[in-house]
Parts: sequence; structure tokens; C-alpha cells
Amino acid sequence: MNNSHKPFELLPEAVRKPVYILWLFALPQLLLLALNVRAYLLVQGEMDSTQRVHATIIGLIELALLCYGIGLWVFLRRRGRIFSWLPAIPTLLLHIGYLWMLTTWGMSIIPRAASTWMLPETELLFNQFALIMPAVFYAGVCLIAFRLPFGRGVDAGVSLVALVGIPAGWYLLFAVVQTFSPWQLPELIMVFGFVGSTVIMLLAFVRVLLNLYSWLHDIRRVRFVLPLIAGVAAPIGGLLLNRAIPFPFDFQDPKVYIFTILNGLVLLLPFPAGRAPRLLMWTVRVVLLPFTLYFFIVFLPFLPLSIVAMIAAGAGFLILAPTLLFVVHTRQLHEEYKLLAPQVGRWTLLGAFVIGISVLPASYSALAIAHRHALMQAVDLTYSPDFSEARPTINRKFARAALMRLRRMKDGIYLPFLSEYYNQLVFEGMVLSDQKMDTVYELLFGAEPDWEDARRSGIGAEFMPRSGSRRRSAGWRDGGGAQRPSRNVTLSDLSLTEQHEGNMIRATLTLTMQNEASAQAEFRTPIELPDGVLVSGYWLDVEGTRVPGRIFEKKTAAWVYHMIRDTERRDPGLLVYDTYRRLTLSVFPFAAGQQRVTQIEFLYPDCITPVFDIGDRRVSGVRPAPDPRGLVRVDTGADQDWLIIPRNAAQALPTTRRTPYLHFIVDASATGSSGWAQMADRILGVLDANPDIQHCRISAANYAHAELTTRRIDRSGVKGALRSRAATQMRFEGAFCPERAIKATLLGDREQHRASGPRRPGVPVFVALHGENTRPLIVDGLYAFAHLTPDAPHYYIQAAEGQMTQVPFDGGAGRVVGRIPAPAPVFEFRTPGRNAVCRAEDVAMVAVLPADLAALEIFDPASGEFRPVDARTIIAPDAPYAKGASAWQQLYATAHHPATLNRERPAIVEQSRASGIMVPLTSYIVVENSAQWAMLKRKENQSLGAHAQLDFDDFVESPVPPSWLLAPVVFLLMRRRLKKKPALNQRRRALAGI
Amino acid sequence: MARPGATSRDLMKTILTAIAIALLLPLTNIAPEFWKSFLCYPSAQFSGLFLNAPIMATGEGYMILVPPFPIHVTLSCSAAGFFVLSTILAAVVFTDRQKGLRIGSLLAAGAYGYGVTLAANCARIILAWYAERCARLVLAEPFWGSVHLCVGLGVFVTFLVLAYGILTWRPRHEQLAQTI
Repeated sequence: MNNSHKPFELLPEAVRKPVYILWLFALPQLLLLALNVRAYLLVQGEMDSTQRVHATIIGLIELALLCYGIGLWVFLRRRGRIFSWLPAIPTLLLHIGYLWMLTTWGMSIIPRAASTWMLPETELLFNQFALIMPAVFYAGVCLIAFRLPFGRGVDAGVSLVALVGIPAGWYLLFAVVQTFSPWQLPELIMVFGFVGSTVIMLLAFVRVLLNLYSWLHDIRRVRFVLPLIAGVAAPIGGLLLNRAIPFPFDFQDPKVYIFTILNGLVLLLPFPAGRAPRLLMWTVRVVLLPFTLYFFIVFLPFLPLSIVAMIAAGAGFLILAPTLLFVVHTRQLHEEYKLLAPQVGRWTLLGAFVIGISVLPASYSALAIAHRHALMQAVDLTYSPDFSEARPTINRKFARAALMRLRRMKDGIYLPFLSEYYNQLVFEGMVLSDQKMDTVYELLFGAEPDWEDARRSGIGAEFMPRSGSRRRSAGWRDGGGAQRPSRNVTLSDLSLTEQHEGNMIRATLTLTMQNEASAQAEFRTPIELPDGVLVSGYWLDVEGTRVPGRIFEKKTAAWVYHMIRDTERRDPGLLVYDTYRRLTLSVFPFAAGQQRVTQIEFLYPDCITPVFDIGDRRVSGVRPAPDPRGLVRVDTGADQDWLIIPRNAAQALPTTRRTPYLHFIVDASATGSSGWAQMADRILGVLDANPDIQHCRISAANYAHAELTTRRIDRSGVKGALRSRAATQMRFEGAFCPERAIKATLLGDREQHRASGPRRPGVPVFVALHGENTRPLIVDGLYAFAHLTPDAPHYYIQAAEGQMTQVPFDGGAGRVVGRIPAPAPVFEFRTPGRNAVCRAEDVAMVAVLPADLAALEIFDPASGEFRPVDARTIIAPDAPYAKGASAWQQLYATAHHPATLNRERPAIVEQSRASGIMVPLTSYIVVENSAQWAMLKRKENQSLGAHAQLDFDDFVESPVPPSWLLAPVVFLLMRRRLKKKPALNQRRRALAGI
Repeated sequence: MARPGATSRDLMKTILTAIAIALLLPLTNIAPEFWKSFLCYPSAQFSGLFLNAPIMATGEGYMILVPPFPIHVTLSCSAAGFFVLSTILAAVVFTDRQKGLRIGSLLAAGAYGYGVTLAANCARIILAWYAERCARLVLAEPFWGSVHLCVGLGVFVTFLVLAYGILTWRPRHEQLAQTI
């Protein structure tokens, strides 16, 4: 190694080709320009003249930089020159100057009114640094790689002195300044010095690296040293430092460690002899290049902070580890490329490069897509199942892995760019709530999830106990958010005014609310709606103005209401459906003693006499005279119409009682196998206890379901039916979910009778039998299915010990019963080829019937035949009521076919909005200002564009204690001072006397 | 606040302080954007720095994206009232030291109050967040808010006392030394 005085090449000429200017200057600058223009277009309306001038200057400078980059490329290319140190100087200065200007002006360019939610300042600043730093780094490397008339040793020594001396110098300077605190450096000198020093130090660092690489590369025996330092020691050291100081992000994921070690080992492997092994080795190194590149890019914007990092933490130099790794990795690839190119050809190498560099990004994307597929499949199975598919296919193993990964992501590990990319790919920017994750897990695996297991397996609590920096959760609905205001607001007055519109009534319910408490409070009350009454309007008194509510998607409106209530504390009002027949009204805020008024408008045919239950108060409409018009048909324009049956008309119609049969749903869940042997005896026991019911059907259910009987059987066929489980390939797995077996059966029955046309032969009474260690899982409830079996709208759950609980389809509280009651009387209607039943009650009711009501018939048990029914009064499809009914029918359709919910939801919301009729997927909301309306719209678009089961993020607010609690402390302290002052003065006087 | 032996000047000072508090505290309800920029933003920034979490601007303030649940620093978290109180406290001590009301003293009191408020609010946000995390593990939901409030109160009172202690500690020694 006698070449210490020989000139050497620090940077290969290939790296200085003008084409790199396009890739590293022009392309990022173009991207940045696009991002900044987009940001400008977002906020320009709110900018003042100074901000506009600043924005214009920035835009012009960006354009100038872009032109400079392209011009430089053209110039160098035409002259056949490389990017030498000379053009590197202006390039470096121009780009640093741009960043300097941006940082100096700060984010004052962004108008405050707009910046708060439209344009996050930190993101904007990060964009500037992330997209300008590649040019700075490249120009710096090209600048620092100039030739010196010294040998390698002296050259490296000078660079090393600059590298160590600058941070040491700054440290000493700070120490001196701290010791002599009155003396301070002028700010301008500090800043210039700091920026200049950082640039020089970074360039010195790169030069040391280049020197070191060049030197070590010539000595075969120590060639491994630099890859060892750059590939293993420095990154692992950096990661360990990151564990204590997670700057700029938290990278404490085991996979990062694994990839770091793998990458280091791959870099350490010697370059083999022979074409094929060499090509393979080179490709493997290319495969891992994205890993190196990723960390280099992530750290690149933070390189200007390297001096601060070194001063702040002794091991702060490890912030430069990604740069070191990048330089070593790329140089190694370049050196090997030069060796390989003559052997295998450039095109082969280019192909290997393209394939190799795509492997990691493609794998990550494929994994994310697979996770999305598995997760969404699991979510769909839970919340949007296709009931016609008895045995849904799902990869449970993969779904579990996806859920665990999701849990870990929610718990913290956040990798910049990658996590965002993953979240966007998997969740479309939204989130799956914890409660829904738990339900999905329980449905698939029949047990409550052990998320601790996910944390242990993923993060390794004992290895890296600290979690990362982000969690996405939507638990606010469950009370996981900020503290709720008190609800001591009472309903002081209530009135209902009705107004006729043709054969319809618009009724306005006026609620006057009074805050009886001395603190700010919220009003919240349930409102029970009668059958056939639709919500068509809502108003809230906001500071004396009657502000009309608007219809928005329910989840969006609830989120915005929550945000406003818990953060801004300004005047929102919200009306939503809790169930299909119950509303919840929320109004906020009420100051102490304040009285406010809100109004809800209802729309219904004038043949209905509604009774509204508002909390514990009741108000009813004016009872109409007996209506000679009889039944009223609501033409929804869809394949099912509504038939309004007024009370007086109902009394004249013949009723019938259908024959019940038991439909047993037996537990085939993961914990159900132990009790399977007793199921036959339990079924026979139920049949014995209800001797009026002779026949039964049997289904097995977990998250899937299988019919074990092909027709109704008597008690003699029970054991044989249960033995047929094996033939259905129904395994004991997942949770016991009788709900979907009930739904599938009801829908199947309806379709069957729709097609056949004769009388409905009987009514199923569902009895779910579960094992000792099983808990039946009800996900959605059965309200939307109640009208399919109106004479028996309950199901029964029998526990292992034999206790039978009756649970209503509408989600009400269950009650223990001894035996199953007889079905209620119904009206059995028939249209050509179709049947429908409607519960016969002493109130007006709505029957959902096939659309062809022109030839409507009703079954008369006296004659044993169907007879015509007159339903001449028609509400036309263009009437608001009929439009609302149509929206409701669409909603029912999605409840019956949840798989269509994602597709139909935007249309239902739009139809609800167009008709002004609220449905359970929408809500009426009143907010105070235009920004809040705009936010509602924006959030609704986001919500409707994503999966129906994904939610918005959760947060906790941190309100301060009220000032009146602190004011006494101030007075106490003042009192103390006033008390002490005479004693102090006395002491002073005494001392003066001495 | 009158007490036996209090001079009329002290009594006047107490009354003026009460009036100042009564007049200035309502001011914290106006110009919300100002309070957001003046107090919420730096509080969120510093808290985010301590919690090692990025912050994000929202319509109502700033969200500190920290697991397991982000913290939303809004107007109700600005500690504007605390700023008023700590500034008044500092102003009382400064004016007392300066033997009168001076612009410089008021500015210094404002700066001091601002610094104390930021420190106290950051400490409150961080501690209350940790406390709420613990509360969620062991207490029912209705108690979470109370825990949050108690921690906030404790932190603010502590900072008020500390701020007062720092204010009065140096002048006493200086005065004694000067007298000697």
C-alpha cells in the first residue's frame, strides 16, 4: 500500500453523470412544486396580501430551481461534461437558501384559519426538506469529492478534524456561553455559523467515508471493516440509541432489527468468483437496497440536525448511520457492477436490478393487500355476510395474522411512509374500531382475543417494551374519548302541531329544554316512534336563530357532533336512529339555567294517529275520524310497497294464526363439541315442554351454518339429523352465532314462498341451544327481520342447564320463559304469486308487501280462501313520504343482504338527503358555522368512500381545570406575601441597625 | 382578603388583583384563534416533543398523535385562565418589587406568566394523559374525567406555588444582601 501520495478517485465519474440532476434535482422539485401548488390552491382564499406575496416568491424560486436543474442538465449534456464540484457550489447554495427561506418565513405563509385542519404545518415543512435534501446531498457529495494535492492519509485527516472538530467546537462554545450567561452570540452569526458548520461537517463526513472506502477497498484483508461498521455496527447502534431516543421516529420493530442484520450480513459476504454466483450475490444486494434507501430517505431531511443530535446525545453521531450505510451499499453495488458488466452484459444487470429492487416494495405491497383481503373478508363475514352462503370460505389463519398485525400497528409501531402506505392500502385512511376487532376475532375463533399475545409476539415486551408513536382507534363511541358533559337538562315543555298536506300530515314536535344545573350540560333523550311515521325535518335554536338541520351520513355526523361537543363546545344538535323505531336527540351546550328550543318534523299519512314517547313524556296526534278510504298504499317505486292499515280498517280485516314449528339452532362453535352429545336430549326436552308444537327443523351454527334437516321432522328424526352434521362438513370452530342462521332461514323461507305463492305453511320459532362453555354472539341484531316473522318476532336461547330466555328481534331485554307462547294473529296477504304476512294489532301499522298491490287479497279463515281487499288510496312515488319509504326499503334490502351495504350506502344517504327523510344510516345535524358544515361534507366523503365498518380516529382531550378553582390559590399566595412583607421589612431594618 | 394589620395599600392591591382577575379571565373566551396559536400550539408542540409524538393540526386545535390514545389540545386545553392568573401573580410581585406599576414590570410578568403557563400546561397534559391511562385500567369510565381534572388541578397548583416561590426567592436574598 504505497500509494498514499497517488491521486485517487473518491467518487466514480458514473455517479456524476448529468442524468442524476434530473432524478435528484428536477424530479423532486417538480413533485414539490406540485405539492406546494396543491397546498396553495387549498388555502389561497384565506391568504392575506403578505402571505400571497410570500407564496408567490416561493413559487417563483421553486420554478427557478426547476429551470436551473433542467438547464444545468441540458448544458452539461450538450458539453459532454460531468457534474463537477464547480456547479455543485451554486446548486448547494441555492437549495440551502430555499430551505433557509422556508424555515425563516416559517409557516406564517399558511393562513391560520385554513391551516388548522386543511394543511398541517409539519407535513408541509417535512415535504420541503424531504424533497430538497436529495439535491443538497448529491451536490454536497459531488462537491466534497474534489481532488486534493495530498495523499489519502492527509486528506482523510483533514476531513476527520473537520468532522470531529466542528461539533466539539460548538459544544465548547455552548459550554462557555452557559458559564458566562450574560454574554450571548448574535443570533444571525449563530444561525449562519450553525448552518455553515453543519454543511461543512456533513461534507467532511462524506469525504471521510469516501476516503475510508477507497482506502479499505484497496486492502483485501480489511475490506470487510467498512461493511461491518456501516452494515451492522452503526445501524444496530443507531437502533439501540433509537430505543432510548426515538428520533426522528420509533423503529423498534423486530423486523427492522432482522432486516438490519440481514442487510449487514449480505454486505459483508465476499464477492464470489464465477459469473452466476456473482450475479446472484449482486442481485441479493440489490434486493436489500430499498431497505438501505428507505432509512437514508427517512433520515435525509433530518441531516441538518446532526450537529444538534451530536451535542444533545453523545451517541448522536449515529443519526449519520443511514447515510454511512447508503454510501457503502451504493458504492459496493457500483464497484461490483463495474466488475460484472463486462461478464454478463449491461442489459442483464439492468434486468436484475429492476427485479431485485422491486422485490421488497412488491412484497410489502402484496402483504398489505393480502392483509386487506383477509381483514375485509373477516369484517365482511362479521358485519356484511352473504346469508345465501352457508359456508363462507375464509383463511382463518391469515385473518388471525392480519388482526394481530393490525393490533400491533394500533399499539404503536409507526414507520414513516410505510405505515401511512399500509394504512392507506388496508384501511383507506380510516380505522377498524377496537370493539369491532374484538367481535371479528371472537366470531372467527370462538374466544375473546388475547391482544397481549399479539404484543408479546410482535414487539417482544421483554426485548423492546416501549411502544411506538401512534395508535389509531375509534373507541369514542364507547366512551373512550373525552369526559362527557353532565346531562341535567330537563324537558320543560312539549307540544305537537299538525298540518295537513293532502292526505299527509306534517307534525312538528317542539321541545323546550331547560338546564336545571349550574354547570354546562347536554340534553339527550330517546324518542319512540310509531309505525309509519317518518322524520322529515329538524331545527335547533342557535342564539335566537332557528337553524335547520341537514342530513348527513350517521357515522360522520356522530363523529362531528362529538368533536364539537368535546372540543369547541358550540351549539351542535344531533338526531339519529338508535334502532329502527327509536331516535336519540342530543343538543349541546346548555349554560347554567339556559332554555333552548328544538323542533322535529314528522311526516305520516293522515290515517295514522301517532303517539310519541319522549323520554318519560308522551304526546299524541289528533285522533282522526274513522277513515272511509280504508287501506292506503304507498307506491315506493321499488319492488316492495308499503300498505298502511289504519286502526279502523284493521278491525274489519280477517286474522289468522299460523302453525308454529321449532327451528333448533345447535352450537357448533369451537367450544360446542363437548355438549353436542346432549343436544338430542335437549331438543326432545323442548319438544316435550311444548306439546302444541309437533315439528321441528335443525341447523348447526358457528360463524357459518348448515341445515341438518331437509324438511320439517318430528321427534323421531332428531337424533338422525344431529348425526348428519359430519356429512355437512360442519366443524366445531369459531363462535356460536345463531343470528345468521335465523336470518338465512327467514330469507330462504321468504324467497321460497315468493316463488310458490300458496299460503305460508307455518311460522318458525327459533331456539338456539348452546354448550356449557359457549356464549352466543349476536353481532347486528334481528330488527330488520322482525317483519318476516311478525307473529313470532322472538327467538329463544337455551343454556346448557336448560334455562330458556326469550329475546325479542328488536334487541329489547330478554326474559326467562317456561314454555314457548303461541304465535300472534296475523293478516295473510297475497298478491299474484307472492305472499306476505302482517301482525294484526289494534293500532295503525305498516305492512311491507310486494309491489303489485292492484290485485291484493287477504286470507279469510272463515271461508278458507283468499278474498280481494281494496287498497285504492295511493301515495304516489314522487311524494316525499313515498321517497322516504323507498329509502327505508333500500335500507331493509341492505339489512337482508349486508354484502350490498358498502355499495348501496352512498345511494341510500343521497336518497335520504334528497327526500329529506332520515333513515337509520343517516342523521339530522345542526352545527354552527360554515367550517363545521365543510368538515361534515369532507368527512362524509371519506366515510362513504371507505368500508362501512371502518371508523374515524379516537382521541382524548385534555381540558384544563376551571380557573375559579385556581384563583383562590393566587389569593392565598398574595396573602402570604403581604403577610411576610412586614416581617421582611422588620428584619431588613434590624439588619440595617446592626 | 383584608386582615388585621394590613395596610390600606395592601388592601387596595388585593382588590385591584381581584378586579384584574375578574376582568381578564373573560378575555380568555374571545379571540379563540389567538389563544390557539399563543398557547395551544406551543403546549402541543412541547408535549409532543416530550411524548415523542408528532402533532397534527385539526379544526379545533392540535392533535398529539401518541398511543394508546391521541391527545387533542383544543381551546379548552389552552390554559388561558392559568396564564392570566400566573401573569397577575407575577405582576403583583414585580410591581411590589418595583414599588409601582411599570410597563417593564407588566411585560416581564407577561413573559414570566407565559413561560410558567407553557411549562405547567405541558406537564399537565403529559401527567393527565398518563393518569388517565392508569385510570382506564383500574377505574370505571365516570371516574376518568375526575382523575384528569384532579391531576390537572394538582399540577397547576404546584406550578403556581413554584412560580411564586421562584419569584419571591431571589428578591428576598438580594434585598437582604443589599441591606447588609
